[in-house]
Amino acid sequence: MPKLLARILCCFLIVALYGCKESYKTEQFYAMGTFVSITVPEDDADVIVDARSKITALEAAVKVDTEKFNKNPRYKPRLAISELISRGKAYELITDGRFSIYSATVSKLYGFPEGAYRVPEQAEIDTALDNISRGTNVTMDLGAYAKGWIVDEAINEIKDAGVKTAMVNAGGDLFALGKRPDRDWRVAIQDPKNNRDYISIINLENMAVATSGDYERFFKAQDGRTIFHIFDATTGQNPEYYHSVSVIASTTEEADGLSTAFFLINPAEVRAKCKKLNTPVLLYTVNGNIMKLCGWEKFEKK
Amino acid sequence: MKKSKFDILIIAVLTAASLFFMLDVQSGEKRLYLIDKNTKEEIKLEDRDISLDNGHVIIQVTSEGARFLESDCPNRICIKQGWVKNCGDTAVCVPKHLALVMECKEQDYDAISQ
Repeated sequence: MPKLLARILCCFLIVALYGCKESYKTEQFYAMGTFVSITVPEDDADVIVDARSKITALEAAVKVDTEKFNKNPRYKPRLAISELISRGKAYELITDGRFSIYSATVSKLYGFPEGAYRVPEQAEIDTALDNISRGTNVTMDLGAYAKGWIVDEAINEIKDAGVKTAMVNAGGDLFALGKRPDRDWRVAIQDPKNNRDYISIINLENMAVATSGDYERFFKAQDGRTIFHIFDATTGQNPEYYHSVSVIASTTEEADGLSTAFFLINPAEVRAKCKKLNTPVLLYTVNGNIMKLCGWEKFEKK
Repeated sequence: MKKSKFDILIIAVLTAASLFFMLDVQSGEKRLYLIDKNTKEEIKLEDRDISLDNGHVIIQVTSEGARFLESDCPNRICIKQGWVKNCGDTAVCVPKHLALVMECKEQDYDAISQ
């Protein structure tokens, strides 16, 4: 009899322990030019469908309105998109115009986003820069922060369904909702020079992180230079400070937009701006230095 | 009912054994997946090459992991990303909407920001 009791107790214990270990469901799919993954508790898996269709719908809205605007500058985008466009102003101010929602006017001369790639003549670049500064004949592209906005909207969809913990990750631009049962969400920041290594691991709860790098979308020019997808809208050239910039913020849109904006300004300027905005930053400079600014260390795994 | 020392010993041993077994399952499980646009399928870890019809793509699989061996995508980033062997490793070919991921029950982090 005592043996039986022991067995029963043991079974209870196992069930109880398993119960504590909440299991999660992750769905991965291709959207917004990258792989998106949505992770929610197994019991809330139904919400994934809604979050996913939200992402698809908003991606289409951004694409359609951007294309219509680029064909006809007098086109009035739907409210959510025109609000998104006007929020781009903040990044232009932070960078003294180096960031622009019109920088595609110059990057498309190089063949971005899809090729064929080439190095344009200086005269073409000058014309493009002129057009950007006057706002005429421009090509708009919200890619620097629209992905972040869409991640935030997917998270809102998940929150509205009453789900307390989730992660939505769009190619490294992600939001961590709530926490896991036993700990915060953990995010590794990739080493730009070795993709099997990480330069930092951070803990997030109801916060977003995004990274911009020079190592994912680029081409090699005939003269041997590597040209990547981020351009300074005042020079028409790649910025030369970093291999990667990561930003922690309270929304994915802000993390996403600032990671591109900070890419365009030097470390001293980044330090001043992130202090004002209260957004932790991790810089990996072109000479291989790792700089942790504005409280980044506080988020690192203990 | 009175419990003897022997009962307590049994409880302790069984608890320890079940805990050990659980932890082992949690950390030991490693699964390789291929994501092809919207479908995600598990790839068995055994020596072979998989050739896909998305243009020209060859994935080399071993008992340890897998890698993109050949691809006609422009920057060959997926090839440079090398072997997908350890928990959380990924290799992604964005132009072809392909990715290899190694998922484990328990890993050091939940996501990578890149």
